[in-house]
Amino acid sequence: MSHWSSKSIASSFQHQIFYWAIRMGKRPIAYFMLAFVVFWYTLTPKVRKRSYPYISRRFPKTNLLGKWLHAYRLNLSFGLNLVDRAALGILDDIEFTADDKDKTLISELLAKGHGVILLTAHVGSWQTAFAALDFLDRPQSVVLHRAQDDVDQQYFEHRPGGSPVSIIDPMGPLGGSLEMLDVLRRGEVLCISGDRVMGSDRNVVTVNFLDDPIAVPMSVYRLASLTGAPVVVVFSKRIHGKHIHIWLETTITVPVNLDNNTKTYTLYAQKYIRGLENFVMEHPYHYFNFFNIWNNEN
Amino acid sequence: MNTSDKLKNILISNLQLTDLTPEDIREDEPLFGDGLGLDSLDAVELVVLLEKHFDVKIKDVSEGQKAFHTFGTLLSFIEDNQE
Repeated sequence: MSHWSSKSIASSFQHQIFYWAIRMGKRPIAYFMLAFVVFWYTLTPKVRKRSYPYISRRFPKTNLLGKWLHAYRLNLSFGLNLVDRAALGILDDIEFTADDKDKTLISELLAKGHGVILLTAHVGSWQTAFAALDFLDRPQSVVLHRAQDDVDQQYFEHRPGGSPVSIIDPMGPLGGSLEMLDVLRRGEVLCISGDRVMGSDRNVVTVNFLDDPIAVPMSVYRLASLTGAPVVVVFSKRIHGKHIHIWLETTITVPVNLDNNTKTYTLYAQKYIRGLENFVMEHPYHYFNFFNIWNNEN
Repeated sequence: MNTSDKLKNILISNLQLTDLTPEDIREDEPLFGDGLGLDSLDAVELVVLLEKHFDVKIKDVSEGQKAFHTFGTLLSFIEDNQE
């Protein structure tokens, strides 16, 4: 099973320089510095090659120079998202937009009383988009892991008051699963990413992503079946430094009381991954899994 | 069938532990990690199984952590909370 880490590759000091630039109202300086920092890191084979499993599948006809350029663009896009995440916390100057019909649909699903699972992936502005959930009239919980030695801050850590949503650590006691179950049983909103396996690979589903098999957690769909909660796949994307757009990609209805055999949930997981494929085909430089998620690659 | 045997059979048949027999499960066997090797989703399954087969509820994460430590603690929890 491929392993990933949420730990930043930059040092705490490097992060603080960017935070300082943003605080001084000099976000363009932060973007300017970023271009060079990303260039430097992309020269480093260990960093650059983290995205190659994805790039070689998303851009199968690219040559070696092309791979480097794609890696640079991808890394830069990720860096921009991190700068804007910090800016959201420090300056609070980002506008979130979403279609009214998407917001209405989510609210209507929530009103049925079984909770809602907002399922996303490590793409776009996933770390900031949950700041836009305040249109929902029920509490929200976000499944979010922070490595102990991770130094970059979530947006809400830049401001007093802490997180506007509850945080469930998937590496916490019993993997946070009982808290997730409670959230849905209370009819609330659970926000979770479904594209990475954390810890055990016991309850995973194998699906095809960009024509090769990957393992994704079964837990989302199993929780949906146990609680009757609809799964709403949402993605987000940075339009520019002060604008993030969020949209509903698809909804997944998992019948209640299904068995807990992993194969039972392949259909639902594949529907989610098809949505993720649509996303990366249209927004290739907003996919941020910097590790090899494919099962069959050495 | 006593509660211990019933619980073992339920765990084996519902948590995909098909390579185990009831005799393989010891009282001090940890449920998660190195023992039975259950994972976080199995914790959810356990909550549902306890409600369904024993009419016993797990109130919160802290109670779940204590009850789900070993087979023995789970069995004791059931016996202490069944009506």
